[in-house]
Amino acid sequence: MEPAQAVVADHISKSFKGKGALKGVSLDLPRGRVVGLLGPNGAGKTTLIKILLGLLLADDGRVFLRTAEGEARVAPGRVGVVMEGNRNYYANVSAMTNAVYFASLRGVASRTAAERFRRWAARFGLDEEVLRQPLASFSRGMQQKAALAASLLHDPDFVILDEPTLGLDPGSRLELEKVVRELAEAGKGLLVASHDLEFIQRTADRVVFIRAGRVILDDATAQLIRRYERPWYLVRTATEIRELPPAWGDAERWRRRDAQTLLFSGSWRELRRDLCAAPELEVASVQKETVSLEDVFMEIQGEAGDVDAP
Amino acid sequence: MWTLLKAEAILGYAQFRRYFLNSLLSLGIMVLFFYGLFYGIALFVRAPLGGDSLSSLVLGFVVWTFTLGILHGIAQEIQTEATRGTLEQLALGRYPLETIFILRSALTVVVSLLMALIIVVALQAITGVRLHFNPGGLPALLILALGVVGLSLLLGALALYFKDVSMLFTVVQFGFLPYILAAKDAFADQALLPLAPALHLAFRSFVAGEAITAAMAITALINSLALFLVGLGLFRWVYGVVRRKGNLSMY
Repeated sequence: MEPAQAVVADHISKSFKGKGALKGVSLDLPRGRVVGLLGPNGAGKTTLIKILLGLLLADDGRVFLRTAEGEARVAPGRVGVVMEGNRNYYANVSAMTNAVYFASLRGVASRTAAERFRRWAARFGLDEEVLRQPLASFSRGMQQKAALAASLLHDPDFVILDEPTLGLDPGSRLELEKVVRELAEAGKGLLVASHDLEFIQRTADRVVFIRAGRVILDDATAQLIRRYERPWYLVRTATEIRELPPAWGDAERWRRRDAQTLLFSGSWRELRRDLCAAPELEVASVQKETVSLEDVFMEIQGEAGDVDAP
Repeated sequence: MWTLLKAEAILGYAQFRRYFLNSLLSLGIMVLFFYGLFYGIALFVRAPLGGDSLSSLVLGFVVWTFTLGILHGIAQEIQTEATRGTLEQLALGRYPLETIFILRSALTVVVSLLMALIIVVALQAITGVRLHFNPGGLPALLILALGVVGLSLLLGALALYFKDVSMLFTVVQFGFLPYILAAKDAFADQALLPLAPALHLAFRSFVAGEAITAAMAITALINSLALFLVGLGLFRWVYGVVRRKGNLSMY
């Protein structure tokens, strides 16, 4: 089967004042797929995004468009982007003027841009009257919605969203989920960098986990969760737990979530055995839990503690 | 390019409307200035109203506004965009960054010249004074513009790297006035001095309405073109440097 057209980052390295921000990062963003980019603050996500967009030049490695015919340059007009924060617009003029202006820079005629913007903005609940107001008068969430709508006006093949759910109300967040999936089904490739792990879990086909400038995990979301899936039990106690019962030994399977909650990873039989071995623990309830991307994120964070070393 | 020009016009108009009072005041100041020129000259030099001296003064002012408008335009725009944080968004378009800024600054200058033209025509009608204007001098103004855009790109490159160069504008503005005055006459033969041949050409042809030779025009064109290419080359080089350093959006 022919490989899907994709934006490819190949062994990208970047340093700032001698400090490595990205260390040989490779990433594939195929059309028709949503890739979630995860990582703690300062992991190098925004640096990678800027290199993909051509706003930053890599010290080593290259970015290209992989097509059936071979390799090509990633033309700026083929990518739509929402940058993190309020770096997407002129706050002193209306949302409509902003949208039309930036779409024109990407070669879209002003009338077409205005029509498309009205349509996309309506999906995020921004009506015609609101679009005529200066963006400075918008709430953070409304500004984000306008930026999201504006990023799609030139009908890009690839869309990069840096923290797209920032400031969005639950309804708009849900609408964005639908839009992201629809765009992927329409054949667009989406890269979504976010700390909103629930959003990533619900939208991304694949997750790339980056930490200290290195990709430490790149896998299909479902497979990743399956891999980390094992029985989890939430054990709530009636009294405060000061320390884990000595009968559990090194207690590898147990983790303390808060003063009265323990997290157990293992089978029901093993859990019962451990609880019987510690009668001093006043168990109030036991509840079976499912693995979320957040649990995986926390687990990977713990496992990858040593990658920070140069 | 038409799409970009239209987009810049829409954005410019939106900004004009947003700060309506300020826009109106700048128009008012220009009206007052020309009004002062039309009536004041008679008062101060005790000469009859109008004639060659007034034409020279008005057209000289046009050349001065035109030159400084373009010179500061690009760097000022870059500084403003970097402050707003929208410089990266501009860089993501299909047009090179310098094209956007050259077009934007050209549009600003054209609008201010049009405003000046409307005012001057209106004042001529009111006062009955006729200015002597040589349309054949317009190409000289374009040759001058080419060189000034080059210099402006040099300043723009500095703004791109250092972000805030507002004090440099002041220094350049003060330094440029005596340079223009000297270049239009004293440096007339200095083909290698930046802008000198084009300034001489513009003042001679556009302002004074005197004849120019082909050699003068070619020298001015080569000088301006060289300045433009140097400015463009430096701007592109600095753009590469800031993209390597990662401070395109930083202010």
